[in-house]
Amino acid sequence: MQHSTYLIVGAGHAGIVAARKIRSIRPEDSILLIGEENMLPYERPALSKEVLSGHRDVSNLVIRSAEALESERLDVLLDDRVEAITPDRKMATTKSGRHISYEKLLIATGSRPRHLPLEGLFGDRVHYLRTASDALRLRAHLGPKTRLLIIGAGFVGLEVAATARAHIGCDVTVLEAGPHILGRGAPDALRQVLSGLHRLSGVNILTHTTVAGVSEGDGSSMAVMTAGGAVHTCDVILVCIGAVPNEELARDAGIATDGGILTDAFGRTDLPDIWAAGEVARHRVPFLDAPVRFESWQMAQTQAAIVGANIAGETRPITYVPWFWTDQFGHNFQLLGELSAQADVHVLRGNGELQATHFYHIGGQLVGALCIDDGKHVPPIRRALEKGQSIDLERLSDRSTKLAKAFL
Amino acid sequence: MLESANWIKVAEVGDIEAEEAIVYTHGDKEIAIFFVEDEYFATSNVCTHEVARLSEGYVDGTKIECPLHQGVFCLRSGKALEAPAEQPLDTYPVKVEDGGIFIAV
Repeated sequence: MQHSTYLIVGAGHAGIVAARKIRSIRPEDSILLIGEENMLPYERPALSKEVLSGHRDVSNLVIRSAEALESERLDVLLDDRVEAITPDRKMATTKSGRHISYEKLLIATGSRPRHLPLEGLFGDRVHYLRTASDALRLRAHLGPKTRLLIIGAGFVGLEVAATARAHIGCDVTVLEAGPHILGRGAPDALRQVLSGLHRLSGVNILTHTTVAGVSEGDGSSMAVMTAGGAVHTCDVILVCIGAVPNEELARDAGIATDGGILTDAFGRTDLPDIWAAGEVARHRVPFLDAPVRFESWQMAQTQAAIVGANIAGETRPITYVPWFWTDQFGHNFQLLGELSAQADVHVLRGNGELQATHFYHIGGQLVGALCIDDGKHVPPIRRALEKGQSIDLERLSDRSTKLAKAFL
Repeated sequence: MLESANWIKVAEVGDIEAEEAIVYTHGDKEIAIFFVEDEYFATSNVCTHEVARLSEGYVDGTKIECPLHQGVFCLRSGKALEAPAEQPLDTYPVKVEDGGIFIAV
């Protein structure tokens, strides 16, 4: 039986960030990551954008090269998958039949796309997007005039729509069951700007539109029927209806899960020496009553680094200012903090076409911000939110005022 | 080596406001010249993570935070300090002479 002091299940972004943090605190201990993909840990944000458009090679997404991993003595086992954890014996068993004992286990298995029951019916014409191989497979099926039908107008669906339209020249239709795009956690201002950009560029977004069924069309096309009786003919379907946490491994090992692996404020599960980080974790944070599970780069980076430090012996509560970005049609949108519909919004416009920062206040307290092509404002706002500072709106009316000087 | 380098005048002292940058294009290189704490720093203007202009980023002491995905670099050494930045920025020597700001490329 193989042994690793620290065993990390999942060799994605969260896994490698936690591993490097552990290494920085524990220079001598063995650290092993096991991942089912065939690529070294990589960042996923570009998959729906530069990788799909062909502007960035997937090899360029790898966070640490094989040489760098070797020099940091981080062992990575790819193309294998932990299929069972036996907490009593502190042992994991992989698909290929390896048994690996550990002292401390970190589960960073991430999430996977929620599926529609279309499996096997339309071969390689129905796509999901989560991994680098998903992105390459989708790209290979898209060309100018390809009729791409995207189910779900969340961030991934809209990013792919923007890339496929602007860079590949596809005919893109997006069907959204809900009343508007970006159903969860997006401010109205962002919905309006993005809806406008998609409309201008010729992406056809239909809200209040539920898919009732898919059937074979003429040639290799497919016909998507909506609940309202409309039929959309397309060549490729991309299903983007959210993600589900890969929590089954933990659940089967007797670890508490509830739409994610439940952890305390430090990343510990309810079983000794087993921790969870990244998107699979539903963790406690000081700023919310209920445990949360966010799907974002920040979970794989900031949260995983904190949990990595804790598993290596430190005691840092998980906390961060929620931060999310999306890039569409050459514009950059960054969301910070809480963008509540109940907030008072003050907009500071810039010189660029869309450039603006929207400040969200509740009861005079700054709670969040939306920066459109205005990333320069993100660091001072993040700091103000960390410190609970508010903003002097009077001083902001003149954009030449340095933002950092307008915080109270 | 620097003596024989190609010093180019990129601006006059006073042209760059504190904690701001100007951009100088040299061939296919886009170089940002920052003015911070009475010192000038010249780095590649393009983030090593994705295409973004650091001259539009946020200067914090001798660090620059990229406006696109918030990677952080050291202006002095070019070193990537915070993810998603991993690869360092190119940096260029800067000197001030006779009221002019010069960089060596």
